[in-house]
Formats: sequence, C-alpha cells, structure tokens
Amino acid sequence: MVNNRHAVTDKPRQEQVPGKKLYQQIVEDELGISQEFFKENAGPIRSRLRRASKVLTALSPGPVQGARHSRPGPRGITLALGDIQDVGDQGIIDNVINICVHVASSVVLLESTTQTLRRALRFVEEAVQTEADPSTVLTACTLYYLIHDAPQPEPVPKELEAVHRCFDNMEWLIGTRAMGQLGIQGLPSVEG
Amino acid sequence: MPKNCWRIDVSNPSPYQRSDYVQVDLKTLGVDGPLDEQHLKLCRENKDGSLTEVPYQIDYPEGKEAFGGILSFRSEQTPAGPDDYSQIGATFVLEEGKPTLFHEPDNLSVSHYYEPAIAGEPADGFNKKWDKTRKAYGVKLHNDSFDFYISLVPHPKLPTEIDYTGSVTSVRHYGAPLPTDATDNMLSPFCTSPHKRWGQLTKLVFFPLAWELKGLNSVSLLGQEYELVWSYSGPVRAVVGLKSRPLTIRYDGASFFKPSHVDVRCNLYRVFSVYPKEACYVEELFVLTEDGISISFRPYYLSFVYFPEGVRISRARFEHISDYFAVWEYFASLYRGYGFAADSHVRELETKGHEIVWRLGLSHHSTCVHFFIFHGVLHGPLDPFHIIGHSGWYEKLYKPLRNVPLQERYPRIQ
Repeated sequence: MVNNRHAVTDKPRQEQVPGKKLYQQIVEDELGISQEFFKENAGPIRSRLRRASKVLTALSPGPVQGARHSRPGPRGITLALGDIQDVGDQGIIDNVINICVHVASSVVLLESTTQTLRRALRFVEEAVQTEADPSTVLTACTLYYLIHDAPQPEPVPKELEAVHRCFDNMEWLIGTRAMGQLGIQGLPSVEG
Repeated sequence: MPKNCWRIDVSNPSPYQRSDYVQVDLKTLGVDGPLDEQHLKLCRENKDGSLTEVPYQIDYPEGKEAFGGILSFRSEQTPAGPDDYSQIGATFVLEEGKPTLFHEPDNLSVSHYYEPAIAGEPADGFNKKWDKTRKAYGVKLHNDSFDFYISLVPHPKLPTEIDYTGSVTSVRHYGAPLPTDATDNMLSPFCTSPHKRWGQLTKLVFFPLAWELKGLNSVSLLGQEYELVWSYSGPVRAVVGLKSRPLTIRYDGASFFKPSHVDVRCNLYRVFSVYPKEACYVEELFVLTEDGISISFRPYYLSFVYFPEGVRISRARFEHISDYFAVWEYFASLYRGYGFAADSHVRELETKGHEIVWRLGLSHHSTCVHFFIFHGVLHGPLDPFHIIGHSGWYEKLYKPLRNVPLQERYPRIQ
C-alpha cells in the first residue's frame, strides 16, 4: 500500500470543508488518505467487497433489504439482514460483515499516520453525535467512501449494492443520526 | 466383571450437566502390557446396565510406551455433582476386545513439515503422514475452528535472526477475516510481521537444593530444536508431543551427599492437543529424566502479537484469580482476544509494546490452555473474561471432568 500522506497538524478542524460531505472530509482531510492510494488499491479492495456482495446476494432470493429476521445488534441497533435461511446463513452473513469492516479498518489503520488517526478520532468525538466508538465511525466513513468515492465519485456499482443495503439495514453501525451528520445515505428501497 | 476389564468412573464437579473430554492415565488405571487401540473397547454403562460403545484414543505423548498411554474420550451429558468430585456421574468400561473402528473425524488433523522434502512432497516437505525416522521442522494442527503452526526449529527455512523455536508462528481463525497479504489472521491481522509468534517458551528455571548458596538454575530454551516424539490425530483429539534437547541441571549436594556434584540430564516435554470446535489448544509441560523421574520447574513464556498503531489494547485479569488472563486488541467493533489459562498461577505478566511475557509457578506438570477469540460486529456485547475464565480455566483446568479416584500422572507416586 502506498503512503502519500498529507501535511498534518495535531489540531482538529472544527468546521466542515465546503463542497465536501463530512464522511469525505474525514477520509480525505482528517485521516489524510491520499487519492493515489485509492487509485492504486481501489481494484483489489473493491474486488473483496464485490465478493462479499455476491455472497450476500446469493443468500437472499430478493434484494438485500428485507426485515423478516431482525435482532438487536450492538448498542441496541436493530439489524435486519434479509432473507436469512438458517443459522449457517447467519454465520456467513456475520463473516461477510466482519470482512467488510476489516477491509475498511485496514485502510484506516495502515494508510493513516499516528498523528492523523489521533486527529481524526478526536474530530469524530467532537463533531459526530453517536454512541458508537469513534473507530467504528471512521471505519463506516471509509467503507462508504470505498463504495461511493474511490477512486472517483460514482453511483454505487450494481455489484456492491448488497453490501450497501446490508450496512443500511445496520444503520452503518453508527445510527441514523450520525449517518445524517456524516452524509451517509441509505439506498432507496426496492419494491420486491 | 471379566478379567481384563477396567471400570472408569467419571465425576462432574459442576452444578450443571456437562459433555466434555476425560483423560485417564492407563498405567494408573492398571492397564499394562501390549494392549492398544486394536485390542481395547470402551463402552459407557447405561442406566439399565447395558453398554454402548464410544470412541476413544490412546496417545503416548512422551513417545515411549514404557511411560504408559493416555486414554481420552468424551463423556456426554454427564450429570451435575458436588465440586469435590465425590459423586460419580457416568461409568465407562474399558475391556479387552475388538473395538468397532472409529474413523478419524474430518475436522481434526496434524500435518508435518519435513526436511529434506522427498519425491511427491512440495518444497516445504508437507506431509500428512508422520514418519518417525524423518526430521520434522514444523507441525500444523487443526480443527473445525482454527489451525496453527508450531516451529520446532529456531529458523524454519528463513534467513532470519529471529528465534522461532517452540513457538506458534501462525494462527488462522476460521471465523475471522483473513488479510490478503498474510498467512494468519490472529497474530498479525492487518499486515504481517516477522516477529509474530505465540507461546514461545524462552527458558525454564529449576530451584536449587535448599542449602545451596546460589540463585535459581536457569536454562535457556532458545536456539535449540525440538524432536517430534508423538503425532496422532484420532477420533477424539489431534496431539503432538515435542521433546527438547537434553537439559543439564547441576546440583551441589555438599556437605550432605557424596559425590557432591550431580548433573541431572532431563528433557522438557510439550504436548499440544486440539479438540473439535473451539479455537484453542491445550498444552502440557513436564520435565523428565531419561528414566521418567519428573522434575519441578518454572516455565517462561513470550508472545508477540503485531497490530498497527491505533488499535487499542486492554487486559482482562483478576489479580485474585491469577490463573488466567486475556489480552484484547480492538478497533471498529472487531475484537481479537488472546487468552491463556493454567493450572498454576500466572506471574510477572507484562505487555511491552507488542510483546506479552509471563511465567508460571513452580510445578511438576503444568497444563495450559491457549485461546484465540474473535468477536465480530454482530456477536453482541463482549465479556472479556467469560471464554478464558469459564471455558478455558474453569472447565478445562480447574474443574475438568475426571475419573475417580483422582489420579496424577506426574509426579508419579511410587
């Protein structure tokens, strides 16, 4: 992975950068992850996310949006995971979600510096209202960025829709209020 | 009861019904001679007195049949009993006879890495079959939850100064995401590090005689190789037995014994076992002289778990129950836990950067459990103590299912 980091200061920015959604600002400016990194690594990263999406699609006969099975998740967020067939499917879905979180958190951890990571964590603590851990917020922003913006802004590719909807159903692990603040939007629901 | 027939009474010391594994020292049970898995049958006694055959296996972890075998089997639905092992929960009967053949389950195995590789083997000498006559430099054990590789040599085919001997150098947890550029997902889950390893024994310490005016006898285990003296994957567990090179401990008996100087030559034995389903291995440690006399010792452990900066670390440990601990590393709702429990006290536990070091108390025979725990996004609230404290320490070490009357393999009472 390439490390081409922005010049940084310890002081967290308090105001939003004009023209950017907050999640973009967090990834690009607070964490300081370079566009070069995304250009060089978007392919392999997206390929992992595509595989995850394929698994989710294969498990759900319809679009991944259903609410037939739901259960309380971390911090009381209700998870609706689509048409889960049995415990085996649930295990697979757990794995897929963990893989997506791991991919995004790897980008956060390996492409930020100690300084930028600290700064971004502090920024999230101050700017985002959520009960979720700041590291989870950073990871959610990065995952959303990987789907929507990397290497350049584009509509959500069809093959990543299942991952997107799965995290929509989990309110991106951070809750709807934080999603709204950060500019993380759920996909429009599909009538099945 | 027929002549060659032995009764095994199993006691459950917990206030709840348990299905768990039992180990029985065949010598202490009175089973001697050439009887092995081909000539013994194990049955559970039902309430109506009838017998139902159950799978079992016999291991010789010291590699010597003279030291006797260890019988292991699973006791299903063992009724609850008092915690002093005073009540029999289930009875098994071991008898001479042709057993029904129980096949090795698909989810347990031991793989070997030999040097040099022979025709038909890949370059790393990988082979599922154990060949006592060949030199193995590594072994891999696996169950349906994880696999791990143990290095038997300091530098396994690597031009490095890092000494890996007797350490677990790779742990793959099947429930945790696997990084694309790494061979394990627990010891260095984000990017690989050459230093990563788990559970390396760096040294043993032996106590001097009471009147000797000197400190402890410390013997380094680094830089030496282990010999694979037992390898077997049966219907109950996958087991390997490792034997260190001879260690020499010098005792000075003056002025009570003549000759005053005695060099005791002994070997450290490490027995690694894996049972189905849980991402943990059980390690037994003991030191034996060539004729099987056990010597008490203190083992020192070193582990190195690599995480990038930013990952947070917390330690779960009760000072008043010092037999177990877990180190947790977490970021973004993904938790990775490294648990250790032993049947003696864990002392001098320190986390220094990526290193975790600790030692055990003086003992003739230490049994330890090494747990690798992955707690994902949807796994609910994390209890940092439960798995290592309950499954690891309480059920496997402090109050395991045992046959009664209670027996100890080492030190053997003559």
